[in-house]
Parts: sequence; structure tokens; C-alpha cells
Amino acid sequence: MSRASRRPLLVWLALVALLALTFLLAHLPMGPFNTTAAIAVALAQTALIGLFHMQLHTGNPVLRLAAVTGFLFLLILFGLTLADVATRAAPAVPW
Amino acid sequence: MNPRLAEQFDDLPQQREAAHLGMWLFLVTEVLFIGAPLAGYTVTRIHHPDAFAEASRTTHLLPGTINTVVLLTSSSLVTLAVDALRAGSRRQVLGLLAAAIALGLIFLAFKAGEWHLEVAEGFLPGASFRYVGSASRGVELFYLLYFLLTGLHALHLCVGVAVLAVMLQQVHRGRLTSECRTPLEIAALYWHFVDIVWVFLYPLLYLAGRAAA
Repeated sequence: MSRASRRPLLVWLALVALLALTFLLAHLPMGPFNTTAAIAVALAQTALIGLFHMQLHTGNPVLRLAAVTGFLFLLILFGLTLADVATRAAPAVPW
Repeated sequence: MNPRLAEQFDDLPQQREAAHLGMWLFLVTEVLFIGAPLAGYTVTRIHHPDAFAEASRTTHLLPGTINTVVLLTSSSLVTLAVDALRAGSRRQVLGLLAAAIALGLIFLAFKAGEWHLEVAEGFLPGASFRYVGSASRGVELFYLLYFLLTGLHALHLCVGVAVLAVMLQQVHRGRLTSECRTPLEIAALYWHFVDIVWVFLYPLLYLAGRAAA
């Protein structure tokens, strides 16, 4: 098999291996690190899909810019929302 | 003058780049669209950490995990289909697209089965919700987000399946070829995006509380 036609298979194996990893790590008691690990694996899988399936590593740099912009706006959304939550006092009456 | 070249473009490569950028910009809006309920999930989980862990343990891990493999595989098949179309292997494209569509339908079948079980178990938020335990409010909120997120995802997957089916038909009719393959390329981008969304939903919904069984 040539290198080019072997790549899709390797990408698939890497994605499934990451899935197995996140599945196994989820069952190990690691406290808050469980969530961090799960998100890290999801980000790694996203990077693989983005680079190799969505061809971000080739082609027009403007496409990479668009992808990064999406991620950046997510950071703003989560960042400001969590800043609000973190600095907001607990409500006197539970909702 | 190439009949495929639309009036507003200088040449075919520019037209193709515009199509790709257009799809990517749409996907960026979709990232924000799914980002909002995900932010809602994050805040609610911060307020109800134990309830979310408990609720996550009630999700059906086996079909959820199988579904993840199903979608990852379907993305690989779609990528192979794009490569095959570039190479002009029409028959391969048809087979690969048909297989990807089949996997998409399998995902939806498993998802529908899970929802059916969850409704029967009393997890549908609202009047029919029943859960014994002190964490019931948090569990109900988890399931509200669960049905919202997986419902939105399934809707997007349905659209993806329909788009791939149209692509299949176009390849079959000879309208999509190695020279004219941009529609399949951007359809593939949409499909991969739906896969990426699931890659995040799976750990957030299915794996949250598994360490403390």
C-alpha cells in the first residue's frame, strides 16, 4: 500500500485509539483531571479530523483562519460565561 | 468560456476556493450554534456536579460508544470517497458514499433506540419525568441538555445523510466527476463537522461520572 493510501487507515486507527483511551481514562478515578483528559482527547480527535479529513493542512490558509476564528469565538463565549459564573455569588434561594 | 464558471468569478480555482470558504464560514456559525448549548451544559454542570455525574452514569454507554466508532468510520469513508472522485473511480465513490450513508442511518437507529429507552425509563424532562433521589433536579437538567444536544446533532446528521444521498445521485448521473467535484468536497466538510460535534458530545454526556460507579 502506498503511503498516500495508507494514511486514511492510520488516521482512522489513531481516532479509534483515542476513543479507547478516553473510554478507559473515564473509568479511572482522577478527580477533576477526568474532565480535562476527556476534553484533551476530544481536542486531539478534532485536530486529526480537521487536518486530515477536512484538509486543513493543505490548501488555502484563509480556511485555517476561518477554522481558528470559530475556535476563538468559542473561547470568548466560554471564557466570559465562566468568568461570570466564577465571580458570581451563590444565590440566596436555590432555583 | 467554461460553462461551469459562474459570472462573478475570474477562473475555476477562485470559484472552488469561494465554495470552500463559504462552507467553512457556515461551519463557523454552526460551531457557535452548538457552542451555546454546550456553554449551558458547562454552567449547569458547575452548579450540579454530582447530579451530572449520576445522570451521566444512566446513559447507555454501549450504543453511545458504538455510535462514536460508526461516525468516525463514516468520516473516513467520506474522505476516501472524495479521494476516489478525484481519481475518477466512479464505482468506488458510489460504494463508499453508500456505505457512509448506511453508517449514518445506523447511528440514527441506535440514537432512536437510546431515546426510546430513556423515555421509558422516565428521563424525558417535563411532566413524565420520574427519578428517585435527591439529585433529581440536576438529573432532569442533565437530560434536558442531553435531549437538546443529541437532538440537534441528530437533526444535523439527517441533513448530512440527505446531502450525501444527493451527492450519490449526482455521481451516479455523471454530474459529479473528477473535474467537477467541489460539491462533494464541501458536503464532506459538513459531514466531518457533524462528526467533530459528536466527538465532544460523547465524553460530556456518556463519560462524565464513570470513574465513581
